Amino acid sequence: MQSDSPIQHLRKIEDLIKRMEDLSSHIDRFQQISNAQITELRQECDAILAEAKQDYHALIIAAEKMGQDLAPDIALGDQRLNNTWLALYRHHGGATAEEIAQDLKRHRTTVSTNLNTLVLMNLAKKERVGHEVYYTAVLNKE
Amino acid sequence: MEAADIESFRKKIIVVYSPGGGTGKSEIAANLACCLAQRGLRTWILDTNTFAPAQDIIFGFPPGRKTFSDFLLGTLDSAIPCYDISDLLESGDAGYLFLTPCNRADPDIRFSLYEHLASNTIPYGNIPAALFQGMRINEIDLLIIDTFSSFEPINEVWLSLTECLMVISRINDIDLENLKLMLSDDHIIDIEHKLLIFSNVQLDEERRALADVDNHVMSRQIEDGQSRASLAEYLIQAPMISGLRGAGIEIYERAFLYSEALATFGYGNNRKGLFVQQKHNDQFSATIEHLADTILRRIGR
Repeated sequence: MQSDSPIQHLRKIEDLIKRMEDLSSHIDRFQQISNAQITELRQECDAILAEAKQDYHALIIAAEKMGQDLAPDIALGDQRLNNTWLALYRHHGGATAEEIAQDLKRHRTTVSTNLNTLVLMNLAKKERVGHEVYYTAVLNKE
Repeated sequence: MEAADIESFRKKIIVVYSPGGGTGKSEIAANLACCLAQRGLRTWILDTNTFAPAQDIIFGFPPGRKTFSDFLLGTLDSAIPCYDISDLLESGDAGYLFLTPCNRADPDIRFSLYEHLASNTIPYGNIPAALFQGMRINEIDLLIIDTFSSFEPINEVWLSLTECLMVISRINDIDLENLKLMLSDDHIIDIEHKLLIFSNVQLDEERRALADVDNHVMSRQIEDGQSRASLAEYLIQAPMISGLRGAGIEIYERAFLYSEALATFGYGNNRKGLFVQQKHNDQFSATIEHLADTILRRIGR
């Protein structure tokens, strides 16, 4: 390095910059491909999950129509809490208060109060995802 | 909190509701709370009427302290302010009386709360936990919730939390028509125990109802309390009220007659309408005592 002339030195640095730029561009390209692949995989997972949840929901509703009760008995004394829990159970993977309110044909505030009571009773879980709060039925109190 | 604790708390909540304003709902709620506290229960009365609060006046509660309005605005930690006002009870009474008033004096709080209620941005989801927490900390035997007479979303919270609803109504066209409307609402149908109590019933010297009510109901003589046929049996036959049959609400066998003491209700030490500060030999107090018995039976105490 000491023996290099300034012009050679400059060329070397230019070469290093070029190689770094190429590498960086490769990283970007790989990342794009990787992101695209990950997104593709995620979309596939989401679609399968949505289909499974839909089937799960439809199966429980169909069974109820045929008089078969597939939901576990959580032995809640209060019918309103019981109905709210069952509605939540039908939504495997969680639902918002709005969705449960639509299922039960009750106002959102009423359902939200019942869902929050179920959370306090450890019969439901609550999770915020972005602006939405999702509730999930808990099967086993322990 | 254990599920069993919460189920037990819910059974201790009594919601006092009405199809319109001016029925005497708050006075009945306050006096019932006093009566139950005098019987040795740890009783909490929660004023949730942010629009037209009453309990601070009835109990002579001083302004300037934190209220339920502050809780709703989220300016407090998670707890609902709850004040021990047992000194209002007569000495020798074993129970405790707790009060949560609503804000009256601060216009900023009132305005801000109005905005939040109008835009539905009150975090209603936090109420159950705060309420049950308050009941646990103060070891509450009975919580009486004095509400807004409306279909405001906040009332849905109280209606969801109770298994015992007391509806206070006058006997006139407006209240009875609104009552029918109210009783057809799923949120009220869902409540297990519903008790309809008539108030402000006026009688003349012959113990017949005065003009504003007898058009519909009181064409026969009312005998309150020691009647040959109970008032409930009598009321249920009246055309306006018979429409309520099948609505799944029980009509309370007595009624609160128009009360001079409540009508001339005063501030400060002249709180004639407060049960604990008067002799217990008037019709109002007797009905409160009887109602307390009925409520205690309903909730299995």
